[in-house]
Amino acid sequence: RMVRELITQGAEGRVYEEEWLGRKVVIKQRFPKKYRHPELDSHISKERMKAEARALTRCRSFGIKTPAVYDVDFEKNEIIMEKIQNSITLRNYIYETSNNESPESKLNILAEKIGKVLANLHGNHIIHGDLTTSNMLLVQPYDASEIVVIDFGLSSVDERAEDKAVDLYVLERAILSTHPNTDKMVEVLLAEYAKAGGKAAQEVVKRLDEVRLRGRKKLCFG
Amino acid sequence: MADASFLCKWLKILFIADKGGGVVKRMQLQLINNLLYRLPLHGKLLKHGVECHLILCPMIVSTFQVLVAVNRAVRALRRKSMTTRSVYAEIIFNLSPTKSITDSLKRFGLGDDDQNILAVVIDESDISTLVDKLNSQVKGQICMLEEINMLTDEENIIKTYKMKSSEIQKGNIEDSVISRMACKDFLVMN
Repeated sequence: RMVRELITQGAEGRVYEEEWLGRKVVIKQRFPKKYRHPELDSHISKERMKAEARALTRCRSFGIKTPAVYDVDFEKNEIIMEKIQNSITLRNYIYETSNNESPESKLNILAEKIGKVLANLHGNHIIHGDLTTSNMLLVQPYDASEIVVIDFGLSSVDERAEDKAVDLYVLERAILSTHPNTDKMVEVLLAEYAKAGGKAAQEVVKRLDEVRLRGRKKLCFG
Repeated sequence: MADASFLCKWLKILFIADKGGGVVKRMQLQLINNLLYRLPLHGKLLKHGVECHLILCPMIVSTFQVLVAVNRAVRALRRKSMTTRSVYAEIIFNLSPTKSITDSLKRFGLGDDDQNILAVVIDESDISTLVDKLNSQVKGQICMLEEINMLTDEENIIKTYKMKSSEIQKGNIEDSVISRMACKDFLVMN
């Protein structure tokens, strides 16, 4: 039986891998923030966990692939969820693909997939909050895989175009700054998003222009 | 009521529920088929001191689902935070998509016509004795635990848990059911 193994540690908490009730799982554990008043901290932590578990489950109901939520423990501040096996991050996939011959067609196909998924996500008024290529996965065989969206720890629900545009902007910046020669890919992504998402999505893309003009000041970090 | 006289083939899994957080209970799942006489909830089995939790099979997607429900129930028991009054009712409640206890007992508990039941035996320590005891009293047709998949009433489950077609196409039913179970306290699915 596998003991809990630390995968990664961020500002919010730790992510472990473990075998739980016979299955390989991922455990997201939130740190208590000592500088906060303990009651407030536990409340905030609980609210964030609920938001994350909700978003994961609701996305599933819309047909967006996410890890299944297996258990939520508010005392230990843990969410136990499915471990997506045989996967890589979009980040690594783009990196690998970019190094091969004529990556354009594969990247464009990927871009369309992303556009569709985000149109679905935003169409259901879910703001991911941290859209990067590290928060999207592909499973083997990668070329044929659907996008699996993970890490809804900063997610929220909002109908307005503003937050959705910011969501897109964060992803755009993430792709363009991490991977060279991805301008076309982003174009294809946004085009597919607008096509798949209808009028509301087109509004968001329009809003995106304004967000771009505002620049870095729009991001919550950096 | 006369002896619960149904044929039993005994069954497989011995499982230790999650050790973290002090939840250490051994559990054995038995699938009992061709139940000829209705077993009142704890009935005959309880009389002989073997507490055995009985769950309606068609509503079960997988044994993992049951493990998750049991784990949660035992944890609540330990923390003295159960919603219901007994571990049995708690397990049933955990399986249900709704917050209504009566509703969950109706849906997942046994009815008069039910022939297939999943028996869950939980104890702190020596489970094999309990299971042997259960064995000696109950004669029924036991099936391989894996056969539970054949008894699943998918249509009913999809309806009960209110799953949409988009969800079923892209994912599997087990994940959908367990996600709902896990988020039940703070998420209403329409």
